[in-house]
Amino acid sequence: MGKMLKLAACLLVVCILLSGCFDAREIDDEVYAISIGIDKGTKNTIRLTIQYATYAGGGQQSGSSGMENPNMQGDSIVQTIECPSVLEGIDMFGMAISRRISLMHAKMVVFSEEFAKEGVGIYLAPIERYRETRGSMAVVVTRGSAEEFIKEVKSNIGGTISKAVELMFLQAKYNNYFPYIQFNEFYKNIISSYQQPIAIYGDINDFKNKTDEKSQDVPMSIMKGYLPGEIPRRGVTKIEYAGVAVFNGDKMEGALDFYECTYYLILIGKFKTGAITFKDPNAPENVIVLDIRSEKKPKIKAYFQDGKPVIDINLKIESDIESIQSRINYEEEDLHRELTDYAKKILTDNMYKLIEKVQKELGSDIFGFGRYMAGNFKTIQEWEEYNWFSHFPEAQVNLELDLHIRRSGMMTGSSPIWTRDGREES
Amino acid sequence: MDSNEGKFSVFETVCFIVTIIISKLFFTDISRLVRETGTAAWQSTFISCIVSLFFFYIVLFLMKKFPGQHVYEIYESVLGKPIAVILGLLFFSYAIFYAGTNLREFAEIMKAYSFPFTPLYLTITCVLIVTAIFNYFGIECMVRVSVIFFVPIAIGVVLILALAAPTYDAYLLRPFWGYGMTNTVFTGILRSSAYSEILALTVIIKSLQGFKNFKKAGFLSLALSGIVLMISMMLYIMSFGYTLGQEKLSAFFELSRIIYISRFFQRVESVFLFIWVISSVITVAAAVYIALSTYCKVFRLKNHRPLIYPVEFLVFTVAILPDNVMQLMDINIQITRKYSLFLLYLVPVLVLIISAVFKKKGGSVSGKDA
Repeated sequence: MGKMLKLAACLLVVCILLSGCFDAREIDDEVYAISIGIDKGTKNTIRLTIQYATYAGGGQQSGSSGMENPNMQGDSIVQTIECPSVLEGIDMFGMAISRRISLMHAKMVVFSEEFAKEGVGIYLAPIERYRETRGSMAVVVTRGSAEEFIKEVKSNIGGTISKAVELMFLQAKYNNYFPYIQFNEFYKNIISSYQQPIAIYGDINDFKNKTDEKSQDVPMSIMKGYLPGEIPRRGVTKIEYAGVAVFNGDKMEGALDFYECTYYLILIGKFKTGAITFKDPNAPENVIVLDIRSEKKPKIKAYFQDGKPVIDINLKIESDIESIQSRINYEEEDLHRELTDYAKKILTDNMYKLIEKVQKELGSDIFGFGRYMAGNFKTIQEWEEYNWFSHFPEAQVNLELDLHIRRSGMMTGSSPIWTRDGREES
Repeated sequence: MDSNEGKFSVFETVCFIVTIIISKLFFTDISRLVRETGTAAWQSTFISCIVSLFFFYIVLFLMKKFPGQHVYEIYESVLGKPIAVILGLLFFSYAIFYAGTNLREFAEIMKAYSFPFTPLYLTITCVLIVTAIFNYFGIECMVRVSVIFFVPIAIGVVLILALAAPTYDAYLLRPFWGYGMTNTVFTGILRSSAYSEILALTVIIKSLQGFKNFKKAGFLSLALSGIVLMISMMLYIMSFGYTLGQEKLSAFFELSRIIYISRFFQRVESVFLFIWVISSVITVAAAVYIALSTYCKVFRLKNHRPLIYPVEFLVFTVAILPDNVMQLMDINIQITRKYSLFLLYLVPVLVLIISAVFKKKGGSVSGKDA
């Protein structure tokens, strides 16, 4: 018995060792792709770009070498190849890179808009099927070339490039100007009969649209949304994410700007919290800033009325006053009610505008109303035969917004400003 | 073989049976069911459970008529030796086919997700070595091991389901009737074979210390497995929907892969790999045991140990028989999880009817077995 046990133990140990041998990989035998970019090729079907971290020591040598070679981004390197497919492209890189490229830690896949408009489905299926890729990587559509976009992905603050990329997408939680769309969700919606997919919209900002410093009469641009690449700003980081790339199946149909994205996220219940600036109803030259957040998940009902699809949306939003430039005391009961109604009207109008744009211009149910509408059908056959996406543009959407301004920040009122001329009237 | 059968309690039996039934969570079964029944896959597995409970209830009558007897001994008493031998060999062959199919499915999923470069035969051999050791020490050893690992397996299953919660959307369960109620019911009835492992109890009945324990363990195991499979199926559809849900190779492994709580809490699937391996190994070992037990009964052999090597070799042969994974899913798995119903459930029913018609009955057993 003792001998048998020893033999069994030995065999078990051998099994473990043997199974490890075949699949064992030394960490530095591979390089880990952080970003994958797909553009239309000129010499082959696609132009595949990958960005991978180097083993040169976590962002320490980002300075000079990065400046000399545009393909070296501090602690990462960007490589491009023209190839017939994504996975073959990864293997083809082996002809030029001394390590095998692993997609296990890929953080994002970027498609050029030109490519996305032609359809990305045939290139997504292999990524979904491939063992190394993960559903948690972000899906980005860039207005320009994916290759150029990836070249601008840099870790400027410090830390590794992978951390920088991942943290950038987590910003979507705090500002709501772009959604955090993971590959799993994107692919699920491409083949879904309930909802159509969206992707993060991004581009390189060449800073040409920045505000003219000398201009004195800059018009107040409140609630003017921008698309990526157009935001008037300057800085170190050239890439920016703003808005939503809207798809019909696997083909990109159009885009929403970053304000529309905010309303979109409110409507689908993924809006966490964010500041919205309104014109002061009683002093239009000033603004009021409200910090709004979803109180509850939206209640959505979908039904048929006279054979026409109807969607009722009930939204509950809470907000706090963050700033009142005019120093008008909106904390007082009457003014508080006036401000609430005013904010409610603006939000409702903007959401209706967004719904109309999505229905009439884009025609893609990115809200997922289909999930609610499917409840009116008994079987999948009936549901698929109805083809919700073809009826979405004609659906009547009714919106009911319940807005409460709960708090007024750390102030209970605003006292007027005193000057030599006396008290300024608000 | 009798000397190695040992004794175990209702709790231990439930742990054993539930482990081998719910091991399907990690296989291709769930996505296949979603392909066949769409959003109503969870209803279908519920129906399968109800049908299995019904058949188990009928089997109870048979086992009650022949208290404490191995299912083969009952066939011999009712049908006579020649037919019983044929049936015994048929069950023996099926158990080997079942073990080989499960083993190949396990090895293929392992290869797809974790060990792409490890030769298939090596994974299969490793599992067979462990199942040989299990069978060398007998069913009691197998049951005890499943009891030890039942809690980690249960915690693992609950954790995967709980951590994937952010991806759940109950609206993805619509349209409610999937591809139609008739289709759901029909598939549910056919796929009741997915719970056929419950009939392992008819083989290990002597270790269960009485008919009452047999009955209790059977109902509890079926109910618990049914609940786990139904909830898991429901949550799987809520996460992937019926379109993506039918594409996945291993439903539960995919569910664990999409867990993304934060930057620091992701890629947790490897933690759950061990519960999948253990439950699969126990399942294959149990099937090998049933094959051995049936063969020993048919040929009245006392010692099963010399048979372990040839039976394991047969299982290995069955496992490497399918040319590719598509063939495995379309033929082997369809037979074990869909059409084995006719052999596994209907034969005991027929035997019960024959025993009733010819008024055949087993001898009374004293004490607890009565």
